[in-house]
Formats: sequence, structure tokens, C-alpha cells
Amino acid sequence: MFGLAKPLKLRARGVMGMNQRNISYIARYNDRRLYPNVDNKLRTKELALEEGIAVPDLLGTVTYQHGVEDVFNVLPEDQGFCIKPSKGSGGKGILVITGRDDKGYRKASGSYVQRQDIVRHISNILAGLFSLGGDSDVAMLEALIEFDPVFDGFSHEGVPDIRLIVFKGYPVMAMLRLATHASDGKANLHQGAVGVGLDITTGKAISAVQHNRLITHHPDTDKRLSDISIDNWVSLMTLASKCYEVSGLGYLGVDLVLDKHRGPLVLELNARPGLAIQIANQKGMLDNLKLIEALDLRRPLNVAQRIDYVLATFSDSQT
Amino acid sequence: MNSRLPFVFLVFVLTAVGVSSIYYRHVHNGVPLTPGQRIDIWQVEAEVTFTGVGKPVTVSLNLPRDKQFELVEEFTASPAYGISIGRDDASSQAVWSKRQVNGSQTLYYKASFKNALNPSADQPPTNVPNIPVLAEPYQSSAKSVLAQARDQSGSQNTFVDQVVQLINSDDQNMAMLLSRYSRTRAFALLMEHAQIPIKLVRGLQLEDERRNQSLIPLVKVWLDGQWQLLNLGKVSLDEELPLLIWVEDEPSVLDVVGGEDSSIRFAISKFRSSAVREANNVARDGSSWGFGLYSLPIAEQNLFRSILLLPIGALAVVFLRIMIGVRCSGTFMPVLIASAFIQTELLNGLLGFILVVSVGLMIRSYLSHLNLLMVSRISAVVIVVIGIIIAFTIFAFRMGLTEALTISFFPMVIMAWTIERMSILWEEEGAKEVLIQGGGSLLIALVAYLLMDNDLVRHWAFNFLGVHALIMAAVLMMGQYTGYRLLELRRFKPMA
Repeated sequence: MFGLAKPLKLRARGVMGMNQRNISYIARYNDRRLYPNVDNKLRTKELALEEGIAVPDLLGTVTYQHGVEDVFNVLPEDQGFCIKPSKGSGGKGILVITGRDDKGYRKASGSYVQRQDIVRHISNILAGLFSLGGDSDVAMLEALIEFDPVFDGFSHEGVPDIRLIVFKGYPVMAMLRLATHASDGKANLHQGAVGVGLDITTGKAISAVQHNRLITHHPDTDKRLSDISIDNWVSLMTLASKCYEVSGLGYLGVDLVLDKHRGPLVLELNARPGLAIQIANQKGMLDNLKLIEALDLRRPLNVAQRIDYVLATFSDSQT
Repeated sequence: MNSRLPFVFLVFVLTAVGVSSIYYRHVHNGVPLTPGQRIDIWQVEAEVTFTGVGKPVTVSLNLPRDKQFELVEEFTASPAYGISIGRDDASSQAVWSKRQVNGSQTLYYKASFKNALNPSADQPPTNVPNIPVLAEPYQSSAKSVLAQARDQSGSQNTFVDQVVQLINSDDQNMAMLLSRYSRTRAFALLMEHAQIPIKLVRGLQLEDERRNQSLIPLVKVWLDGQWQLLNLGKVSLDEELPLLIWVEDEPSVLDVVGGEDSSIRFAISKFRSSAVREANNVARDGSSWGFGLYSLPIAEQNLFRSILLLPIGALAVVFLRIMIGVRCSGTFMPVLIASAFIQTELLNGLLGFILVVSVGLMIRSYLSHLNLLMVSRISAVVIVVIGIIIAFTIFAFRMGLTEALTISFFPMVIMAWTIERMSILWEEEGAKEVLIQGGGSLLIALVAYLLMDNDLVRHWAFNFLGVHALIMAAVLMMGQYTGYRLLELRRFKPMA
């Protein structure tokens, strides 16, 4: 009716709304004190390295405006790189340079930027343009990830990444985000990227959405999305599950990328992961969350035990 | 779920405080529920005249103690007289005094009355009247009148009716009584004989634009547990007009010692006054605690008038964001924009806002090429916004569009931040997102404006501070709402 879903039906399917996410999960399980662990990517990287979690290589950082020009000393001549704000949110302020030639620095989309554009971008980062609350920030220079060719043809002009929702250390839902022409190479669903829901126990595609509509094929490359199956899924789950110990946050979004040489890397962590993952999976996540909330956690389980639990419990509950 | 108990308790307390304070303000202070209500105020002027004979003079005027009316204000005008107004449980008197008085004198007492909100109940008579002993033949006439009335009646009510009828008839015994006593006096004597409590009172019929009025003698009879007013005079009273009882059981209205030829005349006029103002006059004089906004200077009152609208706007923001799910840029930016709309009028405000933001965005897109640090860029945008507003104002003035002059009411820094945020949004998420969030902000501002500009809402927000406790309770409750937002039902439509 009126293009609206019936609330009771959504409730029956275990769909979580924004208010419920904020009150019942983020406010309850994410200690505000721990937010800097994920909001500050530099800090996340340090914590992750301590836990032995693989992350993209850090080439250098810029903290002060007068150090901006020094960037060009550490930037690789022949390789791509990525400049991002340490405290950015929602993928804001990330500049991806895939290489350089006579025309300047080539962006992922194929367009070019010049040296002064890079300087301005870093200045903006330092001034806090992209950071939460406008705090002054640090610019991070990262080596470009060489994407695993497993997604060739599935992602247009951009970064495919895998988002897992990890609740109290248990992965509960997963989604692969594929860039499209419409999303301008970005993997944000509301900008038109494709979200592919993944079976949390197997890493196989369940369903896919773009612009809130179900699709079966990638809109740019026309490849069948249901063919997607991610190898080594248990190792990805393990990596994501470890991020619970890294961040201490009970309700966590973990973004992973697959590097051709290094395997899965943790790209960033998110203390307020979005709800679109439910649409991509065509399934609410409340059922899984409630199962884990009901567990007796007086004796915390280690990562392997948690993964075993997820594999044993959620394989039946998947549709 | 123990942790919810204090929360529920808090919401309950806020609601209770809000509702009871609104009830108190309405019922006890008489603040009307709707704005613009007016009440009748009766202004009564008593003019006392007498002739001084070179002796010290004391003039005592009994003042009205009618429970049906509430005294709004009173003052006296009397050249070179000492004046004291004394009120206690038993009587109210204005006393003028002067050492030596010669010639014709005029004193004025002026008072305004309004209908009492909660007239206190009638005091029952303290004692049963003594049976008077009259000289013959009046005593036997009275007895036969009473016997006749008693014969023709079944109850005390009908008995009193009968006596009144007999007074108006040409009954022989009655005529005998009336040859000696006034009609009112005769009735009083008969009632005392029958041991029915009565009071002799004098009242003033309140009619606008009347001068040279005098008090009308009336009788109050205790029947069925209340005092009933009877007019036994030949002149009938207009039932429609209110009657102010000036004195009850008092020997006299006016008492002049040391003067001659004293008389009293009344002039009456009616005017209508704002019910809110009168209610707050009472609240200011009385011991009302905590509702002292009206005791502040006018400038501060006006300041609070607009400040107290902000909770209304905040409520609109909370509702539209949590229950509906409208997206906007900046949490309370829409409320500030709505406040500006109130100053500018809606259409001017909307046009001005869109104009300033769009021109600002154009200039901002140039600024973004200049490679500026953020603080200086926002400062530049603030200056540009001021420039745009000045330019528009001058342009509008030259064109004779005086309505557009109000554009300067927009909060400049807020506008600059809006432009900055939208510009970043544009660069990162595209024009569509700018339209969604900008439109969302304007929508919320519009709803907040419509609420904040509503006369009823303004009246309630300023006159019933309890409303803000209710808003607080509502905001707290919505803060715990875990259900779906309306727009989420559309978002999750592909799932159900």
C-alpha cells in the first residue's frame, strides 16, 4: 500500500530499522570511549597490526600543513596510491590514484588530477573537512591494493569490498559491494553501487540489489551476480571476527578487500554500519543478533570457537 | 528491564508536571486555552459628594465584597484627603479624612471588576433570625399574611413565592404593612417572622455607559442551601445584566462624619480586555510561583516569546527525523531557518534562502579552486553570504520590494555552514544528495515554521510553560523509539 512495507511483515522477517540499530545495538554494545579505535584509521591500523591482522601498507602520514610538499618524496613513482583522511567517515575524502603519466595523476575513474590538486586535497584533510565534527586531521598515504582478479568483470572502475557485520565477535551478515558506472567507482550503495548479499557461512551470493531494486546481473558488465562465490570464506570470517578484539566494539562493520598477493586485508572498521546489507541479503539480521544476544557469554569464546558456532548455527537459518 | 523504570518514572513526572501546570494556569489563573480571548471588565466609579461645615471630616465608603466578581484594580481621586483602604474578613472600607473642610466636596472611588473564575460557595447563615415584635396593628397583619401564605403553599420555596405574590397583590393585610414599611423591609420582617434567614443587600446593575446610578435595595433569602436574590422593588431589573452586590447587611454604604448633604452616585462603563493580560495581572499580584514571565520587562518577555518557540521546532525535528526519517543537513539548522522565516514571512524567506544558498554555492565552487584552508574558506563564505545579503537588500530596495528587506534576518554563520556542507555534499555525493538533504532541511524548516508561526502554538508555548515539560516527555519517549521510520517502510519494501 502506497509503496510501503507493512511494519509487522518487516518485523516478522527480522528487519532492523535505524532507530533500533541506534538504541538497541550501537548505544548498548558500542562504548563511546572505544569509538576512536575505529574512527581514527591510523589507530585502527596500529591496533590491527598488534593483533597480527593484515592491513594495507602505510606509506606515510602528513600531520602538518608545512609537511604537505614532502608527500611527493614518499609517493611511489610507478605505482598507484591512495590518500585518505584518518578520521574520515563514509568513504569521504578518499583519493585513489592508480598511476601517473604525462597528463598527471590518473584517478580510478580515468580522469586526471595535477600536483596542486593533490596538495589541496591533503590541505582539506588536515583542516578537517572530511573528519567527523570538523576536527583537524591527519592524512594517510596508503599503497594501492592490487585487487584479486576473482572479481574481474564484477566491478566497474572501482574497489570491490566485502562488508561483514560482526556482533560481539560473531559474524552475522555479509555483503559484497561492487562499484558501478553510476556509483562513480565508489562502493557506496546509496550512490548506486551493487550490493550482493553473501551467505554468512559459505560466502556464496544470495541476491543482489542496486538502487534498492533486486538485480541478477551487473548493470555495466552484465555478468551473472549469482555466480559469485568467495574462496577461503572461513579465513575472511576469522579476520573479521578478530576485529572484535581489536576494536572492543560489540556491533561492528568490518570492511575487507582481497589483495592479489596478500589475501584479505582489513580496510577499515565502522562503529555505525548501515542497514542496506539487509536489503542485499533479502533478510533481516535481527534473528541472528538475537541468537547471539541469548548466548551465555560469561566464558568468552575464542575466535575459532565463535566461527564454529556461526558455521553450525547460521547454516540452517540461511534461506 | 529495571533500567527502564527511572526513565518511565521521569516521563511520567514530566507529563504530570506539564498537565498539572497547564491545569493550574487555566483553571486558577484563568489563562484562556485559545489566544485572543477577551473578557468583560466593569469599571465602576462612585462619586461621593457632601458639603463641609468647617469641621474635621471622615468619610467611610463600604466597598463591594461580591464573591461573583474579582477586583482587578482600584484607585481613588480626592484632593488633599488622607485616604486608606482597609480590607479584612469582615468588611472592606475606603476612609477619607481631612482636618478642615468647607463647601462642596467631591470624592471618587474607581474600581474595575471582572467575573470571578471560581466564585467561592455561599456562606450559610450564622443564626436563625429572632422573631421581631411589631406594634399593632402591624403585628397581627403580619401574622395573617404569613398564615395565608402558609395555607397556600406546600414547601418553603412556594411559601416564599406566596409572600412575594402577596406583596405584589392588593391584599388588605399586606396593604396595612406596606403603609408603614417599604416593600423590601416588609418582606424582610415577614421572613424573620417565619424564621427564614435573609440578608438585606444593595446592588448595582452593571450596564455600559450609565451615569447617576444608585444602589438598588434587594433581599437575599436562604433557600435550598443557597442565597437567592429577590427584587421586591417596583422597578424591575433587567435579568440579562449582571448585578454587583455592593453591601450586605451593612447599615449604610456611605458614612460621612463632619459633613452635610452627603450623597453617592455611580457611573458604570464596560470595556473588553485581553483575557491573558488580566489573568497574568492576577498571577503577578498573587502568590503564583514559577509563572513569572509576565513580571519580566517587556524586552525580556519578547525574547522569551521567541526562545520558547525553539522547543516546538525541536519537537518537529525530532519527530520528522526519528518517526518519519527525513534527512537534513545539520541537526538543528532547520529550526534556525524556521526562526528566520518567522521574521521574514514564509515566501520571502523561502525565496531568500534558496537565492542566498544557490548564489553562495556558485561562489563557493570558485573558492574551492583557490586551495584554501578550511577555516579561512568558511570565513570567506561567511563574508560572501553577508555580501550577497547586502546586495540583495539594496537591489530589492531600489526595486521597491520592501518585503525582501527582511532577508537580513537570516543567521549568516548558519547560512555559511549550510553552503559549505552542501558544497562538500555536492562534490562527494552528487547533486541528487544535495537536493535530498537540502529539500529535507527545507521541509523540516517549513513544518517547524508552520508550527512556530501558529497563533495557538505561540499562545501555549508562552502562557503554559507546562507544555515544555510535555514536549520534553515526548522527546524523551521518541528517543527510545525502536520501531521503523516511515521512510524505512519504503526503503525495505523490496523485502516484504
